[in-house]
Amino acid sequence: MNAGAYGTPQPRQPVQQMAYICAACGSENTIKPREPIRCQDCGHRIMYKKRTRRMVQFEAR
Amino acid sequence: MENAYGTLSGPNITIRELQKDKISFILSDTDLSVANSLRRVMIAEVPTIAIDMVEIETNTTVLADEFIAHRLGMIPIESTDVERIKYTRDCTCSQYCSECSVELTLHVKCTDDRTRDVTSRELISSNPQFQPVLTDKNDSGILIVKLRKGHELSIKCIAKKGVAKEHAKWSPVSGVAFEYDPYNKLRHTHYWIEEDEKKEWPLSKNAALEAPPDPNAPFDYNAKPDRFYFSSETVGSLQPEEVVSMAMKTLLDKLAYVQMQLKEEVDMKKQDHTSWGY
Repeated sequence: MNAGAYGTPQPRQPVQQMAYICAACGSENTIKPREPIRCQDCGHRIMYKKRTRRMVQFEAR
Repeated sequence: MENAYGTLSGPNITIRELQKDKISFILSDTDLSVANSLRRVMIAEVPTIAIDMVEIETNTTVLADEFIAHRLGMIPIESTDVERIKYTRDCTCSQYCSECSVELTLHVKCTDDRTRDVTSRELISSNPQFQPVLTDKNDSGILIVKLRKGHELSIKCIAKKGVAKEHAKWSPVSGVAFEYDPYNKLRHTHYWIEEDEKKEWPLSKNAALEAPPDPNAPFDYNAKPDRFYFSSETVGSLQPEEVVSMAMKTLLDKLAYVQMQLKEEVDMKKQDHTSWGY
């Protein structure tokens, strides 16, 4: 069994806008294709992905 | 002593000390191989319950998911009633059920300005027979993680029956001390020395229980060890005397299995003979 497997794949839903967190100011941003990754508030170019809201399963070993 | 195969009455046990989490005993009138099997079974083949699966819903603590999962696995769980739980692999259910597992949940959020300690006390068991081990009322439990204001941890753990052969977290003991022949009369031990063996290798406490050998006596190459000094400390999941008796039961079950196989084999051979003999 694979530790850290993310649930079962779910049927494809309409693509939702993914919010990312700016590494400098912490505000939420959306990333669009063919657009520079840049924070709208502070112009920082590094983003963090948010944690999944799904349950994550691990083996306690 | 005279008989290498022990006395007619079979092996003997003398308990020297018995505490809540410790046992010390002498096993005598048996072979080294038997004593060693008992030691090995006590460490690795006495079943207990331990957390094996962790489902993490929220974890905004400073520790990573897998780090917390590993910590949870090591928490000893009261396993006196392990025999009522099946191994998941022997169970008829598809994944896990109440027959082969115990669910423990934990949900903590820190809302104060102070550091919040999350301990094994906060694990809520689905089956009251299987609780995280606490030594007494004042035991604060085992620290899992510390939370700062706003941190949250929400977890479901699935504890399963297992043996330490698979993972050490299932071991009922933290160690088993094993000694025989404290004077090294049998010369099974070769001491590394600089100058003087007597000075550099002090005698163990068990030596006080045996008569010191005559330094001029010739080496008895037929002698066999027949007194084995055991002492063991548990992790709390089982009582020390339970560990010893369950180890013996496990050994017995393994031998019974060999006996069954032998019988099958003999029956097969007999059948072969009858079918060939016209």
